[in-house]
Amino acid sequence: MNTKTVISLLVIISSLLAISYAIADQATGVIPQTGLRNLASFYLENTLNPSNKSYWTASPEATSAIVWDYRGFDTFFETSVFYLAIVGCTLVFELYEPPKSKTTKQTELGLTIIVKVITKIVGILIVCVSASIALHGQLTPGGGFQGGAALAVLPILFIITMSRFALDRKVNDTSMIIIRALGLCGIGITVILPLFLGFITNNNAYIIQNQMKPDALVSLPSTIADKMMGGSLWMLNVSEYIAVGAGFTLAFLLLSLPERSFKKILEEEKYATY
Amino acid sequence: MIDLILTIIGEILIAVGVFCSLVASIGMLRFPNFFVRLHAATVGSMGGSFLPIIGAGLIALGSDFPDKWMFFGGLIVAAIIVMLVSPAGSHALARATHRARVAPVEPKVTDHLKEDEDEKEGEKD
Repeated sequence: MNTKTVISLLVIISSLLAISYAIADQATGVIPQTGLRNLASFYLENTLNPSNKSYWTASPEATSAIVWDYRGFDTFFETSVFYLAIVGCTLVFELYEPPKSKTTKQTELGLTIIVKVITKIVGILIVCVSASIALHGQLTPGGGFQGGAALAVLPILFIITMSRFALDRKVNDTSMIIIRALGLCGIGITVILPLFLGFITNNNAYIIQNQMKPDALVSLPSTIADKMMGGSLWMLNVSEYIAVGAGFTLAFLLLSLPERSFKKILEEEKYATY
Repeated sequence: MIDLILTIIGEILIAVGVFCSLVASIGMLRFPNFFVRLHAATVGSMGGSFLPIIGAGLIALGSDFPDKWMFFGGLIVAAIIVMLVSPAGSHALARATHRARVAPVEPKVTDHLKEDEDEKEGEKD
């Protein structure tokens, strides 16, 4: 046994002892209470309560209901933060011009044909699985952001296996910005839709309202063809899915740029006189 | 009756998966170099993940969940993805290692990749 093994054994044993001491001595902080808090019992009672529809969300999935209905504004601003991060990313890479002439053949770039074919097959599966995560967001665990993040695995796989230049021919930065803007427009329309409905039916309405409240009798369709749709939840999930998928794709496209494609411009800027 | 058969088949598949995972971990520890260990790792991912996922799907189908077909479908899709991705991944790893020449290609009968590379280099010269 050399010194390295002894040290790693000592580290493992001491961290095990520390963790077990912490757990045994309740040093992990306050033990959470076993009963339900008032807020939790409110959510559990009202999320899917067909007999008392005054605060219900028409969604069997409480997490999605909290994220997009009870705590809708919070999620709205999270989406804005993500949108601003992508805007910052595009601004930083503004210098880049896509390469015009492709001298290298596509077949010579990337990994072998086996990996490329498997990537194409798996790509279809990724689109299906991510769409099901997003579209079932109001029924099962999942939702728009999770679906979009799963969809964003696809461009990474394509960048690794086919090379970035092959992906450049299929999608470009501008189309991704447009698709992302479409997703965000969907969120905006869904958010304002209750106001229009309230205006037409001469009722009170709130922004991001989903189902009717005691003082605002406007509700978005809770079932479509006998399937629970959760009113605004599925619209917001689909819009978020499109926006997040396109946004992540854009970020990965920009981050995978080789440095040499904008290094020259950077050097010119360094010596420029302002 | 059919539920019981499905559950038993699922449990057998999970047991086979446990065996394959054990064999793979022994192989990862005992095999001499990268390429042979890669074989053990693939045994672990195909036998140790693909089969148990199918088994779990069959057990879900044999029990009386509400929405059991949804669980079964999800597990089958996951199994298909594992089945497709794991060999392609190990292929890419092996190819990259061979090209980088960081691991000895042993034990070997022939090395067609090296012959191809030599031919290409010969054409360049």
